[in-house]
Amino acid sequence: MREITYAQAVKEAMSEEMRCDPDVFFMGEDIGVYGGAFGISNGMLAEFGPERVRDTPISENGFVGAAVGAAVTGSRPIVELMFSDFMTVCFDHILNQAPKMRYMFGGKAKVPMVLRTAAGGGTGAAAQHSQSLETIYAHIPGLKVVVPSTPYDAKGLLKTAIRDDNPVIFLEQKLLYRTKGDVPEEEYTIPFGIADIKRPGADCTIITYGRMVQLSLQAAELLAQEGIDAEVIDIRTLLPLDTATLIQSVKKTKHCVIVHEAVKFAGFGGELAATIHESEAFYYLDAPVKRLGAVSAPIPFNPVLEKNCFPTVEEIVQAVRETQS
Amino acid sequence: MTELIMPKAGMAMEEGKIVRWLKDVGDRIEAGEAIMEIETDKITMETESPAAGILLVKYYEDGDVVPVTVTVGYIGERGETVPDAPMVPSASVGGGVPDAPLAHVPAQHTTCSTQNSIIPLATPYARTLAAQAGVDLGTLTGSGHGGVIKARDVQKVSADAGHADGDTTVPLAGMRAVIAERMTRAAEIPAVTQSMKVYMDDLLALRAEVNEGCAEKVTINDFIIKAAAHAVAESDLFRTEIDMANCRLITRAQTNIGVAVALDEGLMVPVIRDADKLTLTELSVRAKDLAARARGGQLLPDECRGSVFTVTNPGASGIFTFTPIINQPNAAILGVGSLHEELALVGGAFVTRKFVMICLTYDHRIIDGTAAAVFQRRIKGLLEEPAVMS
Repeated sequence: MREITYAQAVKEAMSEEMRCDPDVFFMGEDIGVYGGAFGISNGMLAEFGPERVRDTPISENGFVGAAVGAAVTGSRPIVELMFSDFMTVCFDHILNQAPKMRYMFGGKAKVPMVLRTAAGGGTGAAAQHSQSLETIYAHIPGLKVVVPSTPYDAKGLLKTAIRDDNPVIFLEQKLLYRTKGDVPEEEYTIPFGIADIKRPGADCTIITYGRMVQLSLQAAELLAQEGIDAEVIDIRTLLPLDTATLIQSVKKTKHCVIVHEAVKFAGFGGELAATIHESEAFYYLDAPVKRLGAVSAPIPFNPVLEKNCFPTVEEIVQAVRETQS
Repeated sequence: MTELIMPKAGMAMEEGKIVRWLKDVGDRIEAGEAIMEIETDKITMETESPAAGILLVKYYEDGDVVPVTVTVGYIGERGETVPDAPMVPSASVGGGVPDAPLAHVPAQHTTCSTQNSIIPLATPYARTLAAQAGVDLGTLTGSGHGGVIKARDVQKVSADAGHADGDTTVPLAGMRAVIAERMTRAAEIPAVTQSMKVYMDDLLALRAEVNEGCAEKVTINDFIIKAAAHAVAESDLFRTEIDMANCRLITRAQTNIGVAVALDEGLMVPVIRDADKLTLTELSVRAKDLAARARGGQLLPDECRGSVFTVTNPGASGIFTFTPIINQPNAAILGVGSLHEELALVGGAFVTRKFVMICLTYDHRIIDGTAAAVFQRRIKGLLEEPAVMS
């Protein structure tokens, strides 16, 4: 199978959907002539023209609002928010408009839009360009929240997002853009709400998503050398959440470690831990559920400090070890 | 403030049971004064207070089993604050905040005397397994971080038990665990048991004579202990231990005889020191005292050590012969069957005669068959002509 980057996978998903559905269009800052701040949409302006690949001013509140209106009136917009940290300047549309309309209009309106945005740290982009804010979106009923970890998942999940009749927040972690992985030439989609067991194991379930999937897989290899067989589950979509796979896994392994790049305190790991505790898996736990996440601090610009904000492979190994002790 | 711990009263002691507290919270106590009565796998004993002051807190109640060296309470001055629970050593890595004391022990439950009022700290899965297997978590010692009972601790006691409804499982602990361990080790000894008939008519007659008008009666077993002590004192081999690790045989000078005492929960073997030097009456008094204190749980650890030979007598149980198991590190053990009667032809006339079978099990690494037979015949001779002993 061919290998492509995560960035190419995102572009392929958008391009394929735009080719087969004329209602799909794309807008955002610098996505056209410049090809996107992360180079995702290179060549898309040439292929689809300025009507369907629209450069916007630096006006998130304006173009995200415009996307909500376009979606309600029959288009299927894809919006790129350059950094997910900027959601606050257009938050009324994300919180009060897009997710509410279908409900408030009794199903007579639908909002088929995708808000794609670059998330996460590790690039030296400092406190206002490095956050992982997925928990904030996941707290809003009416939104769907996707955080793919591989090129394969990014493509399959983005195609599903574009076809979905509801607003989808699609978070792409910046450090993943250059990672490569197998992606088939043939068309495929990945349904929402299906977690992916990235590595089966018997002794401890590591529940994770996004960039931390890679680190968890590395940790699992190190743990295997000490005879601890960790299972790594990538939830892929936070909302809807595949609780059944998580519960089944923890019932099998009796131990659970949750890892995400977002701040640990009040992070999505709390929701995942509660999912386990509220289920019958609770009665199978042979150690407290452990959570790993970023420290409660604005992400520093200093690269050494930044690196120490996020969970590391060693910390994941140690957390899993402690569940076994 | 001084901590009071469950003492480690013997090398093999891993946990002790608080039989009862002798002081209440708030009581003043002197250093060296008895503060609680504890039971080990071997004995019951009193624990002395390590300091003078007020007993500030008790973390465990009467009847609780506590691992050795674990803090059971604090002694200090009135008004001193005590932790809610004994501090448990932390093995956690990272995190600047020290682990809080485990919160499973209520600070004060002195007013509540319900037995085992402490909820054991156990993982949900350990609880699930324990409920399925009918295992009482209160009887387990946790192997997890901070003493938490984990699934493996429950599995250890319920494994292979093949549980069906109505079955019960209890952990192997205390005296039973010690016996199990010693019996398993005893199975490694190449031992031989040989039985010999001993006629008891003369001994019974002598005993009746000795006991005439005495309040404290001498028993048949006292005679047997006396005879055994006599024979053991004469025979170096029967005072010899084997030390395989260092390739040597050690012959003990003292004729210390162990006497098996059956208890409901197992068997204890208190030791009569220099038994060969005691008169029959002295020996009888000593044996009665040890047996009574064994049954009352008042023996000291040292009173159960140092035997060179053991006598075990199941009494009037109807046993004819049996194969006693050597009480290590002894070289041999003498078992005594019940008194039986037989018809015999003596001087052309039928007479009834009383006899017991004496069953000698010996370690064949130390003692050979001929020497064992000579020894056993010597005991037989002493018992059949008991006047020579007394």
